[in-house]
Amino acid sequence: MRRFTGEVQYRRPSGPLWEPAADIYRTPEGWIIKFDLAGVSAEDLEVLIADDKLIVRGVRRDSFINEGWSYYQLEITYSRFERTISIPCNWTKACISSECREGWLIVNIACVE
Amino acid sequence: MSKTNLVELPVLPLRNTVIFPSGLSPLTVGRPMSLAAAEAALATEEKLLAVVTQRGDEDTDPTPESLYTVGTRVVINRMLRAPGNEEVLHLIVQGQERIRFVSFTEQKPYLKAMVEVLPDPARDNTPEVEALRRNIDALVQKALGLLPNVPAEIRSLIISAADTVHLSYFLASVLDLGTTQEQALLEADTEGELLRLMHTYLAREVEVLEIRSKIANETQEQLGKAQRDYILREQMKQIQKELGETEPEQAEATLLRERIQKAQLPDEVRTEADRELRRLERLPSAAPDYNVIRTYLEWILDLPWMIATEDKLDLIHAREVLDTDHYDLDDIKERILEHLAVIKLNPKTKAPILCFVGPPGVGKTSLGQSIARSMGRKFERMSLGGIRDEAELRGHRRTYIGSMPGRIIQALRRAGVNNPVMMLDEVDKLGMDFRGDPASALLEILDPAQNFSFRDHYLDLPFNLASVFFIATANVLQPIPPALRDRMEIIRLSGYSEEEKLHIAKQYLVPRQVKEAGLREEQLLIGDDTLEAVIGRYTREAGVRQLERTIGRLARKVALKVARNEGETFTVKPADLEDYLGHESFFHEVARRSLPPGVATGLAVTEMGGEVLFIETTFLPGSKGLTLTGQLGDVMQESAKAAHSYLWSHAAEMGIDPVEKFEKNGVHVHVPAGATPKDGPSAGTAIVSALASLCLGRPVQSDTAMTGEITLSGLVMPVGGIKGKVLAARRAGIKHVVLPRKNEQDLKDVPKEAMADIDVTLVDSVSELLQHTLTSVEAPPKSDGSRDRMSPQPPIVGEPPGARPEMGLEKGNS
Repeated sequence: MRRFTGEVQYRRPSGPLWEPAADIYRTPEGWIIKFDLAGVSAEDLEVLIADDKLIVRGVRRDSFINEGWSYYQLEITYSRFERTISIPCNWTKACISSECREGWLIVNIACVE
Repeated sequence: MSKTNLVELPVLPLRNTVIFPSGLSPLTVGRPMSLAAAEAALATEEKLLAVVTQRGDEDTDPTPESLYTVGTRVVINRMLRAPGNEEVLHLIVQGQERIRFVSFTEQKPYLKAMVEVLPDPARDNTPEVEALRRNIDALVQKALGLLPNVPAEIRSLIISAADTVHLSYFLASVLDLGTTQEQALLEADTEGELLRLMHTYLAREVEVLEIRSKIANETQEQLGKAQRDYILREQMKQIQKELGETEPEQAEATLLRERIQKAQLPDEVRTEADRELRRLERLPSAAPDYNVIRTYLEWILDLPWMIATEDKLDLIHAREVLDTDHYDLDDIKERILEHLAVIKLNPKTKAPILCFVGPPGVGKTSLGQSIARSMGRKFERMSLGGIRDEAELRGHRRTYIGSMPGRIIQALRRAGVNNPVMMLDEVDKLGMDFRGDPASALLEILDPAQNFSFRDHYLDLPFNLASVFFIATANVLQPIPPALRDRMEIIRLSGYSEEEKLHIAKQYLVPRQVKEAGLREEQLLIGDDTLEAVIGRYTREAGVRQLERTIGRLARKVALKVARNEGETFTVKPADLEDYLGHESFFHEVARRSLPPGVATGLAVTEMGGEVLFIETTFLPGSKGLTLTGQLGDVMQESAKAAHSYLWSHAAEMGIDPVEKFEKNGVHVHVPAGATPKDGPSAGTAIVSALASLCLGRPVQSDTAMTGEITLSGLVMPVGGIKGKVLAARRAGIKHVVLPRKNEQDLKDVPKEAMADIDVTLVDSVSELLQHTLTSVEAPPKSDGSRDRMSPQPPIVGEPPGARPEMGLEKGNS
């Protein structure tokens, strides 16, 4: 997890990428954001905070590539993705943690008042 | 741009489409090389593929040379094999980045290339780009206004798009700009370049849209007008149906159609009737033309185009019918029988066109009726007296409001057959002035060479009048235009003699009037002498109308007596007439017992028959020339001058002293009655006799009357109306009549009884005439008993009681 502040250069993607689905929970402590990112390995995943936005980006790679196999149907989107989420929260004082579990990426934001 | 940007990707060549680095695009892959490329892409971890458009649209296996050098890197989002055919793939790809092909690394089994990822077109914020952005926004708004079918989501997506570059890519993929233009957009490296191109294309696209919308509007307008009429008419029908009005209208058209189908019509008429019926069916019954067409069709259907009565060709029966209705008139009866005989031999013969000319009351009209009866034809009579307008005969054109066919067609409809006997009464009384000339219309109707296709203005269809038996009647021939006269066969009905009137009265008038008065035949007996007295003293006419009225009066007086129970049967004697009818009404000019020198008896014909008239002459000592009085017409004046000149020029041979008689004296010629206009040349002989008598001092024989035209060289020319004149002379008690020799054949018409009473002398010249008319000595004429008996009354000059009609002397020798 890296935290980008104002000086961090944010590279805008050159083309539209796919966006993973996300659920956002409000908790007494703050926020929990759950991304549907099955099949994405941790090294291909990047969670950034830029200004007041949470950015999740990475690449989903298809690992089922075998000699002699061919696709009959494709419905899961691979390749690069990027998702940006705004939270009304004071990021500077927030305590942010993330974990990967059962195919989800869970980001926990605890706001300290 | 660093080398690290280079990647190797399978290449999918595209035909006729360009994929932009934004949004999703569906692709169908079927070519083996493309299939292999897609399969290869799917077999990678990231499913990335380079798509690029082929130049041209030929369906060949693409080579690196045939591809554009700028394409798009896409990721395959979805893949599906076509059901039933696994060799066709349906892909949904998402454009990611623009790429430039650096080199192709493989060509078999699919193209594979090293590509360089191009950066997003550089954003620049120059005023030009800003202007382009705004213009594009405006154009997009305009285009959306012209495309009402764009869904609301897309509409809001386009309007809310913040990035003009992406908006341009999106629009380019949505609009059908053409491959070349789309490729140019894809290759644009800066925002300015991209927007310039986009603006051009968009402007053109908007223009096309505007023109399309304009064309669509115009078409819509044209269609709309026709459709609007149709819809309104349908609605009207519906309304009429709701009101229950559709029934009669439909029924009427159907009824007319049935009648047209059943009617016997000539082809031309049927065609016209069908056409008019079709027009009628298209019209609502409220249309003003509807009734016009309906009336027209009814006229067509009512006319007897092909209906005719069968002629009765029984000559004996025909003669019987004619004899029952009319006394004498042999000429005419003969003519009718002739025609029947011709029809018998040649059924297609044209009907004759007769013209009966004669005084009133001689039976012209009733003769027409009995002709129709004898032939078994229908009878139609129309009076032309006072008709001024040609349209009365031939109708008004249908464009006029209230137009109707003319009288001829109306009469045919009444008759219901196309071969009636049609009587055109009083042709001589047709009006003719600036308002029209109906006689000219008659020319066509009465010409057998033309009337087989008579066109009434209203019908405007040819009607065959050839089998109509036309009979015209007239009192005098003069007012009939020569062209019309020429088309008719003139038959004269001169007046009846007193004997004929007696027969007519006995056979027809008395029985009829007795019946009219409600009496039985034996209740009123009128002897011959009584009838003669009625004919001579109570009536004066050529026909028998007045006589019939007088007999009717007599019968009514008797009926009154019968009703008062004053008796059962009555015999009327001449002596009783004054009681029944009052004083005698008429005095004829009768022969004067003795004539002084200078007076002669002439003969004239009027519309009422023949008359005697006196020519009185006297010298005017000390005056000069010739004075003429008595309402003499031009011809009669000239006749008098000719007589005067003849005597003057022949004075010597006749033993007259011209200086004494003609130079020292003027001559006055007077013809009583002075108030009655007279004309014609036939008094010539009477004038010359009177003048000769005056000059010689020898009176004209008082029992002698004369008629004839004279010439300056002393010839006596023939004149008309001999029968009437001789009958008048006899009535007046004249014993001796001097006529031109050329009139000899006319004497055959004079009844034999009259000829027996009259001594006729025929002369060729004036000198011969004078020998017969002048007394031989200057002394008053010797009187003999018979003359006394025949002239019981004193000579009467002047107007008799009762209105006397115009005494027009017949001109010429017709």
